[in-house]
Amino acid sequence: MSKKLFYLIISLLMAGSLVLGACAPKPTPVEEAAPAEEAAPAEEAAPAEEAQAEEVAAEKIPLTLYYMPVTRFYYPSPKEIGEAMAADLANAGFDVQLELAGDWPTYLGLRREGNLDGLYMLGWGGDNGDPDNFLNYFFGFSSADKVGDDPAAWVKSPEKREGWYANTDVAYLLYQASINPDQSAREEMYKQVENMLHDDVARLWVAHNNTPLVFSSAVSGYVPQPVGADYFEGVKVEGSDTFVFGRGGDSVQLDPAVVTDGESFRVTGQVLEPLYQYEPGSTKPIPALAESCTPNENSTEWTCTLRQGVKFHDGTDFNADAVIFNFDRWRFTDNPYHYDSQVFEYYEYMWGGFDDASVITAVEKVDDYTVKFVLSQPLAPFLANLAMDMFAISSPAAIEAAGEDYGLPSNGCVGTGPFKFVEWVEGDHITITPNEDYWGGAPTVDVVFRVIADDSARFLALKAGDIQGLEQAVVEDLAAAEADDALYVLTRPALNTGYLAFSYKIVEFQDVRVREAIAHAINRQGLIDNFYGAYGEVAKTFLPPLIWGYDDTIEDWEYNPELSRQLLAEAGFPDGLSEVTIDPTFVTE
Amino acid sequence: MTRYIIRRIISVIPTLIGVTFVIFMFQRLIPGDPAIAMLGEHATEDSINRIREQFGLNRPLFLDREALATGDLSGFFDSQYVNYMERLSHLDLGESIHRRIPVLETLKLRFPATVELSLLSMIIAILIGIPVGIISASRRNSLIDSVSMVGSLIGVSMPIFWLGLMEIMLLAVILKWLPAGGRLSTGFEINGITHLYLVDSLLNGDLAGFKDALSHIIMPAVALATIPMGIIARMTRSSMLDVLQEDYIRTARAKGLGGRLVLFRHALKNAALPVVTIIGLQAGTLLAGAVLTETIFSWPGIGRWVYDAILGRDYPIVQGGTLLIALIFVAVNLIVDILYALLDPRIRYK
Repeated sequence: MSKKLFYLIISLLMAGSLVLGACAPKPTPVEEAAPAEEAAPAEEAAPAEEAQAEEVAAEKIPLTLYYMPVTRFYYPSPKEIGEAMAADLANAGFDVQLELAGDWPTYLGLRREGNLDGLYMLGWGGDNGDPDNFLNYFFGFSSADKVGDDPAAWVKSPEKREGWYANTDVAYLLYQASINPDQSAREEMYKQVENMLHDDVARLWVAHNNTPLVFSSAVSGYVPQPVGADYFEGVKVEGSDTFVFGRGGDSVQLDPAVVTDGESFRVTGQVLEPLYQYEPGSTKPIPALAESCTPNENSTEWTCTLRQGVKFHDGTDFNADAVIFNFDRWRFTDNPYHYDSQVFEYYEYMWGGFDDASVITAVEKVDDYTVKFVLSQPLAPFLANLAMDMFAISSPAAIEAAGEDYGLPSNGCVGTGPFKFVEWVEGDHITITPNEDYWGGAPTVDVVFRVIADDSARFLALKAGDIQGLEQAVVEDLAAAEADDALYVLTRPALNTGYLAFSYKIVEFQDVRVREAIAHAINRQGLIDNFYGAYGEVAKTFLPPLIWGYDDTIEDWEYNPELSRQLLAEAGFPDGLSEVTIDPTFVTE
Repeated sequence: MTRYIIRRIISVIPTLIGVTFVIFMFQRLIPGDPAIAMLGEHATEDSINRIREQFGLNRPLFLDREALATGDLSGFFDSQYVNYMERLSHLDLGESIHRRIPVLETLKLRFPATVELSLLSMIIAILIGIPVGIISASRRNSLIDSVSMVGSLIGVSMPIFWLGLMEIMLLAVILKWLPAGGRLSTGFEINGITHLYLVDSLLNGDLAGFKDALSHIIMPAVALATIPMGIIARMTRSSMLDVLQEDYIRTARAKGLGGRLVLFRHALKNAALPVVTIIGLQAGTLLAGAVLTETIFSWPGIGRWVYDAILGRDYPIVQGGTLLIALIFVAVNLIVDILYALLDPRIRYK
């Protein structure tokens, strides 16, 4: 009898899963994803849509604040910060429901589709220390939407913009700044953009957070970098020839061109070098593998003189051919080393695309130690881009030998940097050792990057002497570290901004007074004091103070619940706001 | 008996197929796309589509009804699940989406770590739990009984992460006797056939390696052992108490047999049945991976690995890992059933 029961359960299970499978959402075929086709018939269908609009407009949804499911520098404890924001908002008449929309991929997916309907928390960490990388990424238009020279003709497509916020004037100015070779003119333009965004309350900028790193007092010479990988080459450890660094997660792959996570760059940044790098402790690009790069008059051609006598760790020569090999591999989708399973995401993102879409249209060999980059348009942040970890030069011989497996744990990576790759035990540690022939002077210690996922356990491992340095610790442990003679804290200057976004598809948020009321309602200094410890600061604009173009003259929104209530009343909500309406036309101003 | 075992093993196949199906569909019901999880925040639509295509994520989940409508039979079966089962039929668990490492290869490295940790925990739990249960039962309501039962209750309800951090605090930070985490110190390497470092190092006669491996495993093993230890102690006690009230025990005592002989020879064997069941269930749970313990002690086992894969939507790892876990549960249950027959002559399988 029990046997029958067993088979009955199994068949029920299978039947149940069959039903589930049938109900499961089908993945969207590639063709259906193209938004252009949908856009065209939309105009014809306008009357029908309007009729529908009235119907939908009557439907109210609760005012919701979505908090992030993960911790990021700019939001060290998102749930608690969200709760504090909700409490502040309630105090000013906003009855906000706090909601967790799912885990991180879900959250990003919803945000990507523009379906976080309400207020939501998010942030940005800069890639190359150029204001373009902050402002243009969020508020610029893609080349497909920049139709002609007249910004009035540009396609707004709010569905493509974060939070459905499309501001053509801002986008136009950002475009101008991105092609202007004159640095001081650019600086003025970015300041202007910051002011426009501030006046429009496009987002509520919340906080910048400096990143604390904790070290054993035996360690010296570590240089935290606001952008790019930290400098490990000067590290010395008293009484040891190994420096063990504890971190929360493993690298994804060690080919920097195909990954996007900081834990990968932390390692590749020691083994590989780009043509330029960032000056220690700043975001200023300085020469690395190139001795200099100089532009022509309208900065559409950059000629780089390469450092001579440099060898890759596998003994092959670094020269113009190696540079061209790497750039061609990234740029051409039909290059034999540009595999289908790999996405050269940062190349596409920083250089406008692959093949014909690439801003770099040619990398020419002038002689063995000179290369010329030809650009399709002036690109103001050229050197800042070139210095990014993703564009570090790998040994062509190593890529040819490893093929698709270059950068995987079995192969590691081969470059010219101060350290050589030794081994990678997945999920556990990566070891690198000094490159005795390094042109900048050989480092003195082996470095081991050890994964310790739990923040508290990592800190205890530091105290126990298992590791000699770490990143990311809870606020209480940092306070303990500051007081401990055997430890010290270094901070990496903030290149990040946490913000609160409005979904502009909500009718009420389209009124600037409502947005301003929210800006005045939240006590951001209170958030800093309570959740960021000594390392955070209130953000009054998107750009962190460290970046050039930061406008210190912007007058921040003061914390003033009274003013907030007053603005809300002026906007037509004297009794506060607890429900909002989704605008069915999704048009933003 | 042999026939029974063979029948049970055959019946495992539909169970596992059911498991693959449920896991496969359920993880795809969670919103969040592996391609987006892999590529991050500024991936273009093109790249996402290309990665989806690379890993076959653009195909329908189960059978393609549209292809059938057009009469394309091979297209009908060209679906994610069918392709997955086809690969599985020649033991190909696929590759990790993020690192393109074959899932089987990582399993070979990580599963032994989990086995070693859970076996040692189980040994600790049994060696302490059963004697404590027996002593408590034989001296019911004495001070020693109260102390051990309160102790086992604490063991059952102890939050592992807290206990783990306290262990590290005391033994690694303050006393500096043991390392704070990991499976081996850097520089050590232990090779061998079992991949259980304690066993391999002994087989190789590598005493320094054994010492290092032991110093790393003690704290996580103790942390992991507390819950099963408490459960086993309590179960042993109550089961023994039941048996000790049976008539045959009284008869044995009346015959003048010594207390210890009655306790171990007569009572324990009969009281063992529910205890074995509990041990089996606990062993299954431990082998399925102890996410918290593995996280606190940076132990490179499968629990943490599968957990990270779920967050990163790395479907092949989740599928491979859970399939193995299901297999373990089935195997442990089978072993427990067979042990029943050995322990209790009244149970016979046909």
